[in-house]
Amino acid sequence: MERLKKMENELGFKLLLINLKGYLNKTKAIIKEKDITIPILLDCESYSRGVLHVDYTPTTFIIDKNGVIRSRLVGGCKDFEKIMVEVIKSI
Amino acid sequence: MPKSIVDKGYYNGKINHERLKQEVEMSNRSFAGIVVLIMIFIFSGCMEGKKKSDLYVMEEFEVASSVAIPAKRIKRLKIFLNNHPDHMCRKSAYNRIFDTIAENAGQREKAIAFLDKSIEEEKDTDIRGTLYYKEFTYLWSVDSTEAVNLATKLLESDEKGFRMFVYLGFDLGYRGRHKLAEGMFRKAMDVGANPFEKSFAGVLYGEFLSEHGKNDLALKILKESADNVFAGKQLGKILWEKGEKKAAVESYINLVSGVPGERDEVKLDSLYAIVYPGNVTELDEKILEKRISHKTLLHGTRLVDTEGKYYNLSDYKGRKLVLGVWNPT
Repeated sequence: MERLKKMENELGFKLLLINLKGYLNKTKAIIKEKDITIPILLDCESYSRGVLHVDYTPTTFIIDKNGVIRSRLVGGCKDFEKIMVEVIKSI
Repeated sequence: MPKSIVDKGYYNGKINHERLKQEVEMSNRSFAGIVVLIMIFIFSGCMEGKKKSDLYVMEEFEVASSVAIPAKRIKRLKIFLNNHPDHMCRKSAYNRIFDTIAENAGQREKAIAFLDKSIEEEKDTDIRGTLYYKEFTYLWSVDSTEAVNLATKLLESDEKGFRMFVYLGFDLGYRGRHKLAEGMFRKAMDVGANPFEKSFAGVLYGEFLSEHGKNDLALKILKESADNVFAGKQLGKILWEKGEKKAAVESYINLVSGVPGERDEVKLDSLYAIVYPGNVTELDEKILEKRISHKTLLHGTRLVDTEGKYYNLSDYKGRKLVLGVWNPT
């Protein structure tokens, strides 16, 4: 995901992460440990489950310029970044 | 005589009225300035507090949760519940209190009583379901008959905790209570509040049925649950075994469009080459077409990051947005 973040300007998108569990201190520790620069938002209102209907993690949503969810990807794989770039360019 | 006047040299046996007057005027101006500063401070404090309130609540929970002495931890967590009866952290607070009580084997009844009381007072269906599931797993560890009795009671109840029924179905199936497990999955499909929930329950139910040799019913349930891309995995397997190869490949494409990591797992490229020899290059196009075929409007919300900064997801209209939901903890 950090590699994908570097392409934000080139491909014209914003990348955000939501921590499903919303634990503050554990999230802070992970950010520090893994040197994460992507904003991590804490889901204190069960938004992911209640509104996005996330039942598996990680789930990645790709939303177009009109605010429409166009793609919903579960899990990762070895060429995940390549797949993401392809989807971002296609919407 | 006020001490300050003496200390400041305004009184050396006689009062220097002129100097005192000037000082009082300055003091009044300073006082007004201080009042303004205090008001700004309070106002900005309120604004800051409002901005960071979610973060403060989470900090409060985590501090209470990490108190070393069990009795004090319970007390702090109960205060937290009292202060924030509507905050989502209350689910974790209930769990932490229960775990703390249950650590002591002699307090079994007290632990169960705490859960029952919390369930009775809790309005949120999902949280009530979490607590019931907690009670079930705890009971199973001490007396499986009591756990089965609770599960049976829940199956016949008006409870609508969709996840609770899914988890119970999964657990009971794993523990060999197949009939009860099937009932739980069916109930989860019934009480599911939307197609996402119903199809999620349907996928697990279909997989369970298939694992236990009930492929015809599994096929029916999985087809009904095709909204969930995971349905494609078992559906593809059953259809391939039945010789419906094109339909099987379509199911696998549906799966891989949403779960890219499954492409190698289900050997989609090889199966596609068998069904459509010479047209393998089309596969990537078909997957991509399916992958970007969603058309659901994002209902935005405002979420806070670990530094207290708020992000409103609706603000990104006009720009593409990639939103990853994960559970690193």
